[in-house]
Amino acid sequence: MFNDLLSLPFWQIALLSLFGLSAGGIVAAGIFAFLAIIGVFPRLMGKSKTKRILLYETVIIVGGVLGNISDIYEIPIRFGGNLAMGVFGLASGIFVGCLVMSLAETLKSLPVISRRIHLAVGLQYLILAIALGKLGGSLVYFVQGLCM
Amino acid sequence: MSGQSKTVYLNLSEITEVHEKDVFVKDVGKVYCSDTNIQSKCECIKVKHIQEDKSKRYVENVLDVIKKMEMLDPVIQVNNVGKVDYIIDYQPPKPSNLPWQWTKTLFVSVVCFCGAAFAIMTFNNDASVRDVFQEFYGLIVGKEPEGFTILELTYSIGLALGITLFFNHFSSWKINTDPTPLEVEMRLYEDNISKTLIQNQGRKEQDVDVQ
Repeated sequence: MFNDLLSLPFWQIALLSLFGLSAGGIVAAGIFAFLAIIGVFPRLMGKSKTKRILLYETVIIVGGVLGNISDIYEIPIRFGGNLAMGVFGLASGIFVGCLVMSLAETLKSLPVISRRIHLAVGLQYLILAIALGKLGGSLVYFVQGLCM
Repeated sequence: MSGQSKTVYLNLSEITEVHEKDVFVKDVGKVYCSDTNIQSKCECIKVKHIQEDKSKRYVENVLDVIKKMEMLDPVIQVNNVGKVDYIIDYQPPKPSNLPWQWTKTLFVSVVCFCGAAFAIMTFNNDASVRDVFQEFYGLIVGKEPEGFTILELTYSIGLALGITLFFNHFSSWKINTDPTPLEVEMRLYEDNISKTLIQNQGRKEQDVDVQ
């Protein structure tokens, strides 16, 4: 795949490399700063009462790097079948679920709404309703083929 | 020397995890007095006896501790240099269940791994990173690329470098001794939990409050 590259002039290779490196660095900083600041990982650690921060950082780094490589190069994994897909689907679903709620919490949308309409009791049912709405919406989206 | 007061400096920490049902001053904070006799007496004052068996957080006030200290000896003058409200986090002593701990760690690791992979994949697809690379390659080289180019390679390397730098992760490469962003976030999260517990305790609203 690099046969083409060897024929390119040096300055073009240098420019392309610089562009790629900087793009990767900035995207990584942006995406992972967002994930760290939004509070998903601290919440997962706090809820599970496990404090292996270094291990989790390693896992996040490895996950990000491998996920990016397999996505960019479209590398087939051909391993694990339905079980691996089920684990990946469930885990990324849990992650996105935590992410959207962290986002809603960071933007203070729930406290604002509950103060505006003087919601006094049943905040837990509101959360449950949001979770069920997400589940229903996600199923409708995939089943009805809205993504096509 | 009678009549002369002795100052006892009291420094309580905001939250302390205890496993014993009898909680003493020396468990929840530090005491200093120029008179070591008084200091050790103060350290051994019992601040709370926990009745319930389940793990629970108790919000306490330093005033009770001061009262108990001054009852001990009238010459004692307490100077509180620590927290005013403090939390005793009681967790019943139980055999550490290592397999269960590792199961939880494995679960969180899987979620973090898949979540990080998923986040970067959705970003790449959302932002059409490959299309942008093809166009940029065309801009520089003047013709459409065939297959993968150096852009994808360097992008992947840059991404790995960026994440590692951001998390300041591998101790041998560490640029400085700052805690990592995740450690900072974790401490902030714990601080917020303690603050909320203390504030909940202090709120004496008659009206219905958020449950």
